[in-house]
Amino acid sequence: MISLRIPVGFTATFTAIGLVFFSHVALAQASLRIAVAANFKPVLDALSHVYTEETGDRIEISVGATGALYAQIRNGAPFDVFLAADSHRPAELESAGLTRHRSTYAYGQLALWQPANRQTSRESMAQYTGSLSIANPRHAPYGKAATDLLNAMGKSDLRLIRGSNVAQAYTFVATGNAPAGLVALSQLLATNVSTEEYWIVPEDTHDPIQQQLVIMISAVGGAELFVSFLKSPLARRIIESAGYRLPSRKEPGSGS
Amino acid sequence: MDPDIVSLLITLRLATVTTVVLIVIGTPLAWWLSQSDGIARNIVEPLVALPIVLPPTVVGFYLLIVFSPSSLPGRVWQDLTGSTLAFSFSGLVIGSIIYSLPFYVQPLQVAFSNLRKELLEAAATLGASPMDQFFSLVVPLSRRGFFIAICLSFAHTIGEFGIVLMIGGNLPDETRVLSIALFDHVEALDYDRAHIIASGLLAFSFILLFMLYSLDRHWQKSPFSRSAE
Repeated sequence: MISLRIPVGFTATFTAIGLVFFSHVALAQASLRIAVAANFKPVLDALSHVYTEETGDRIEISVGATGALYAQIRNGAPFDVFLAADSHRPAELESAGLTRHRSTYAYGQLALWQPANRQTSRESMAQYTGSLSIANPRHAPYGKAATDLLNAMGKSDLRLIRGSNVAQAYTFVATGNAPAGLVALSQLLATNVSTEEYWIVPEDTHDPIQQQLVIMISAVGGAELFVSFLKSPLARRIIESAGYRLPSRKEPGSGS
Repeated sequence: MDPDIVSLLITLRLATVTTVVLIVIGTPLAWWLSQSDGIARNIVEPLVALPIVLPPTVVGFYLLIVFSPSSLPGRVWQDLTGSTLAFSFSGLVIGSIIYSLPFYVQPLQVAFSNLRKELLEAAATLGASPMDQFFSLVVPLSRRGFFIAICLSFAHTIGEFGIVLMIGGNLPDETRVLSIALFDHVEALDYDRAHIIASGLLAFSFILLFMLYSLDRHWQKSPFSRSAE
């Protein structure tokens, strides 16, 4: 019995080593591993398509909530670039010494969405009463921007429905449970909502909704190439048409 | 008042209301399931068990759609009360009843099925009405089942998260239960406050299950426990 067991054990061990080795080889074939916040995933899909066509480099995309991806990276997940939906988590990674570059790649744009209103405007916001769906201001950038706006306009009497993120804030309005909400312009564009139903909130009413990226300290060389690709005219057009504003070259935080 | 204390009170209130409603509607349902057979029973039985296997997000998603004023039930509710079911305590109660239903019905159904039919028949021959039989015979003999059902549905409602996250809207004085408050603290990286709630829920759940098992052992040893068999 013992003489039988040893070869089995050896085979298993070698198979395991082989699998680990093989999976490393397989991973290495993707030129770039990018973790992306869920809200930017559709844009990254379009960008990565163009990037692969231009450079031949294949991108492997992992999508998730910014907080979840942050936790994975802190625990050693092997990403080259992390496109977060906020600036807080990238800054945390930077101060932990895990990154070699950090910059803002897009600004989210806040919009008041009131589906029953065919002339949604600043006036609609000023006169609005009742339940308003927003992202949770405690940890979601769009939620923070929403409360900034409400404070600036002196709207303190609304019943604020808090989604755990801006996707949920959108869902509450889309399903008809909340009559209006402060959501992301990118969501309204992605779902072809009529422009009459929303008002794009001017950015001077709230702190900017910065979406920052970091290049991880152990990233492959292609990471910098991809980040500079994001600043190319074609990439900028793709990002802008999805409802984000781009950092101007002079703005702080716009990177290198 | 500290917002986490408010969340604790909302959670206890939700679990209490849900359990009371389950006693009222779950008891006859469990009795019916234990006594009947046929197609209706065969369809209702898996329906009751669905929340055990379904992700709470499925229930939450459909509730969000049903609660919407653009659906018939949602509109009727809004016409009657002037408010929506989503983002309200009443909405959470409905979600919790669905979510905890199998945890109330199943232990009770087992207890009812284990009763000996001869006892009820004897009581009937002695002139006891069905109601009499139920309250003076079935309930006392099934007290172990009732105890487990009540404890489990109460505890399970305390532990509810996914449905509340989907339909609650995180209103501090109405729908922010403990599990949501905990989620918020973790998302905001406030681990100190998260630890207080998480360890509290852990201790509560352990103590409750410990008591449940201890009492159950005690009852199984007692000569009266299985007198029905």
